[in-house]
Amino acid sequence: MNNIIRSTTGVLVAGMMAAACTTEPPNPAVANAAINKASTAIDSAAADPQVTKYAPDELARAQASLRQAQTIWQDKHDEQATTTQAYVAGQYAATATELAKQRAAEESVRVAAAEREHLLTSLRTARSDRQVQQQLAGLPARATSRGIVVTLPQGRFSPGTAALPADTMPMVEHLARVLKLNPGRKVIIEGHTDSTGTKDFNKTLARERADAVRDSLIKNGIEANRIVVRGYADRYPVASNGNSAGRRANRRAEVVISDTQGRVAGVPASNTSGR
Amino acid sequence: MMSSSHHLHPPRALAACCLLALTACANQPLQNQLATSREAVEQAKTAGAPATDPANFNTASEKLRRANLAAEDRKDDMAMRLAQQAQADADLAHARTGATHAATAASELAKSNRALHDEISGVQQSK
Repeated sequence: MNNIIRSTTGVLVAGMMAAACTTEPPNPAVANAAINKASTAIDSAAADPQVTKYAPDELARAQASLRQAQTIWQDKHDEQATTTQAYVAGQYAATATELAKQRAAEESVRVAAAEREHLLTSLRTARSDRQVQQQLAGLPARATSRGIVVTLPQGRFSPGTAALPADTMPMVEHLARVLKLNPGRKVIIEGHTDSTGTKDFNKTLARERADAVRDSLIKNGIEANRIVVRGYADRYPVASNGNSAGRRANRRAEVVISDTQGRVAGVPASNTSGR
Repeated sequence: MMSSSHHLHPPRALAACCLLALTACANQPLQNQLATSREAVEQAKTAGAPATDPANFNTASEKLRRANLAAEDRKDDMAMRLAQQAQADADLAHARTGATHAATAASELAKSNRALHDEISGVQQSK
């Protein structure tokens, strides 16, 4: 009897306390709707590869908040606390998406900034190359992927000889003037022969032709340390060796002008026959 | 003598009263949350959120205001919930602002690079 009275009193007291504290009973539909809404937001953020790449921690924070909301509902049936926690979880998911967008954009800014440096260098090079080409006007110069190439003297070496004809001197003087105007640039002088004669003979002859151009550049005031010499024999013909006109075209020296930093890439293009 | 002691007492009494009031009111987690939320709103504002994401920024400000009112009314639970929401809203407004600004920077840089590229082509093609 005493026990019954005691427990009834307890229930009554508890009921009165509950009535005093909460105005309405917790509504499962409201709590579940809030949880589902947050869950949908988190799922779509998690399905976004940009989010998993750039904002995994923020996504995890949203997921943890959602779990917390679910726990609060299961353990306490506190509608207000649950909906708040679910709301916060949904906002965290949206924040993760925005941060991922921001970080992805920041990365493309970094890439573009590096690209910009490269482009500025290319622009300076292009302007300088154009200036050099204008300075070289009148010489047999052409733009190639390796840089500007001047052929000296085009088709003027006699078979088996490396002597520069006297009337090519104005061309060498012209080239020397251009090189003096562009002190950052260096040259590679490449000597070539036709296919007549032995390999060894042609190797030496090609080197001697390049040396002849080098010597006359030095005579015109170009420092030796700006000049590199190579002999290619008949490895890089520009025309057919089957006729005399082709052989004459192949007997040549080519001056490859470096970029403004003194750099030259690669070797001559092989077998550029139709020219 | 009597009057001088009367002059000294009221400030002391006030201080003691305040201390008592503070001790009674101080819900430290709530005070911390209010401070954090206030800071989140301030940071979002500094970042430019009022212009780039006014909806979330204004919601955050309004919830913070209501959280402070609820705290004054000793409705601590409500104050806490509003403050937590205000922080989440402010963080979102802040992040959206950062994303908007970064996207603008990226597209401007890309545009400028395209212009540079065109300029290079122009120089290379002119003889």
